[in-house]
Amino acid sequence: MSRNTRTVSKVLLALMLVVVFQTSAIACTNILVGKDATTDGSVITSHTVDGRYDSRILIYPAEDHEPGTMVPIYDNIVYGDRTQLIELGQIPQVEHTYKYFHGGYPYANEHSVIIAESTIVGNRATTNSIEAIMTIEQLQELGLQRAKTAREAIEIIGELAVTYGFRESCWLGECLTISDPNEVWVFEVFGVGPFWTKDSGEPGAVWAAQRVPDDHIACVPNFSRIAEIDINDTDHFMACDNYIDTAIQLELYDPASDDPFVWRQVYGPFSINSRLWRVYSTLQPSGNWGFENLEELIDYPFSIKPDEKVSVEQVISLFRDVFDGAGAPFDMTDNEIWYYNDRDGNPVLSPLANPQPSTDVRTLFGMKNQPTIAVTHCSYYWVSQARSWLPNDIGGVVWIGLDNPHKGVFIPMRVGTERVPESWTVVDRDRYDRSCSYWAFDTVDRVSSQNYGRLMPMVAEVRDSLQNDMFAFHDAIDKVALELWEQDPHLARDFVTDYTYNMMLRSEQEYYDLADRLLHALPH
Amino acid sequence: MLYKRKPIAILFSIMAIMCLSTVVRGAELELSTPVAITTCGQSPGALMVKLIFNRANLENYHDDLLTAEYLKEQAAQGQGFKTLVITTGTSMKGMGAAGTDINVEIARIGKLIGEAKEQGMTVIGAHIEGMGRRVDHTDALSIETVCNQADVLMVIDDSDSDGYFTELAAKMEIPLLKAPQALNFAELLKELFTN
Repeated sequence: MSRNTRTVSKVLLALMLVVVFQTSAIACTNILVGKDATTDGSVITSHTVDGRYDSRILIYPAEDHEPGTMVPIYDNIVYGDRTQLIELGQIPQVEHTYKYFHGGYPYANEHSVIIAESTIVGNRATTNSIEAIMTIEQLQELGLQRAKTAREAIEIIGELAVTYGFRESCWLGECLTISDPNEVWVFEVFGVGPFWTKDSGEPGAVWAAQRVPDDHIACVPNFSRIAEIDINDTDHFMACDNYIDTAIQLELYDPASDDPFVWRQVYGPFSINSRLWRVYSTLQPSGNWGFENLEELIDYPFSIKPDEKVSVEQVISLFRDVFDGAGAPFDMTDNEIWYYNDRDGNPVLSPLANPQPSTDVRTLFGMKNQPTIAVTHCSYYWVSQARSWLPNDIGGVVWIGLDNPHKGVFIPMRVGTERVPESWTVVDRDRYDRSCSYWAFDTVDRVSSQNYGRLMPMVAEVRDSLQNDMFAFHDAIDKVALELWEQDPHLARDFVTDYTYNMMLRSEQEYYDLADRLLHALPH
Repeated sequence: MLYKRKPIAILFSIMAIMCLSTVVRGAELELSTPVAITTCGQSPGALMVKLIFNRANLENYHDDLLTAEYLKEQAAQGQGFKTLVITTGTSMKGMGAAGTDINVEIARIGKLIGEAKEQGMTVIGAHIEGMGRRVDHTDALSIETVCNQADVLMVIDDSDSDGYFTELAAKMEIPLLKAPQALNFAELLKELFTN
């Protein structure tokens, strides 16, 4: 690239950075698939981390700890890329902690325990006390360091929240979708009101968890999904002892009433949005899921059996979804404001039509925002596979990418991975910096959004070429890694590390090159 | 023996409570229910005040987005409020979730206080979430909007650790209700609400 091109690029980027738009941070989507509902027996969970959160990929090794060691408990982990962590307290450390993958919301460990997050808000009465110290991201970190299975993670996270108090870090209640190579669970937690004190001996959190049946899929799109709880069905439900008592104390439930105890209605409020419809109607078209009246979503079941078995590729495709061509009122390009008439009077779709229009554009044209699954303000995203027939180093895979999932790639990072390129371990979103991978993907997103119709095909070409290579090589990488693992697990870890490392560098470089080409192709 | 000790224990409890919470100035202060509760800045403070009033068994109505129009409607139906409590200090998350911002909040609260004064209600400006809700410009705007027009101030010790509310109450010559912890207000409010 010439010096002039670089200068032009920097000026244009600086101008575009001025018009960064604000959107709600409460917009994370999780899609879950049980092992008998996937094409290959994988257990899947996933997370679009929507909002400005720490997108660095940091891998912390397993460690042994001396008896009596204490662990600092922090606030601001989600903003760790740009703010100081604040120590809220300390708790006893365990003898051994497992290797885990850290981001704004820590997500995987060496045992293929994989955890996604979605803020689910909740009744205002569940506001936490200022003495509560366990944020959801801190609980994820501790769970990953200490658990070998999803159930263990639920027990550990639930107990820590109850003991030390659940502290909101986004807005009220939180959901974690927790998987291992055999099963996947939905775990939900709320505060117990502003007057809880750590010395009271009372529980500092209320939580429940429900397992997704092995032949089902589920989706968490920022609202509570657990309905009635059969606490005797231990194969499908777990909950804290106080899950009803806290509701009574907070005056959210009257046991004298004839009403059944419906978790999501009690601790809610139940919210609705089009993402749940999109996931259910895509994976189970025979269900004829209604969308004309979004209120119908309140009756959507916790999970459904898909019409066909679901692959990782399909979940990735759903994560890229922006409702374009959906044939439903949620497609933001299906709006007359995007059309003009040609010389013959025929309507023509403008290349400016964009399924992810900015706040400024929506304000100008009076468009209603539809919360699509892929959003421009996503920090990072991933779709995971946990596979019981492979060693965890190989069988646990997090297909991860940065920025807008509609335009980015999903790079397979097996949990045996020991390191990633330095450019994926740093981020400064207040300063354009080509030594940071985030800017490669964000620049492509920002530039292509200026003229979606003309530029998106260029993005799709690079994205799909890279992605198809990664899909094509996936089984072969597994096979070679397994052969190496049988000789020596260290060899397998080195191999999967090198593969992921190289795919990250290649993707980053191709996106920076694409960004330069997009700037040249951007019409005046 | 236990029976004889009980009245003494109750007396000590009451004394302890009165020591914990204090009315600085205006010991003759008398307040009346029903009480309307809202927030200027969408922090959880108003919820906390509601829970305190519930604990004191005092009739109250809580709405984080309470409007002057609602006060007017209730009064027109002969169900007007006697006291209005507005908590101060802001939550950006709370305002975002409620679809409001500090400017909208200030406009709403301005009209609300105007209507409350019109109806002869007592306006209590509260700050019960500590210095954590006195950190930025929006917190200051929320506090100034409410407390500079209040008839009574109600704060916890931590909120007043720099003496801001003590000075303000003295300057405005209005009563200041003060307690170490928010829950300590429950017993004090029982004493002050006379109806």
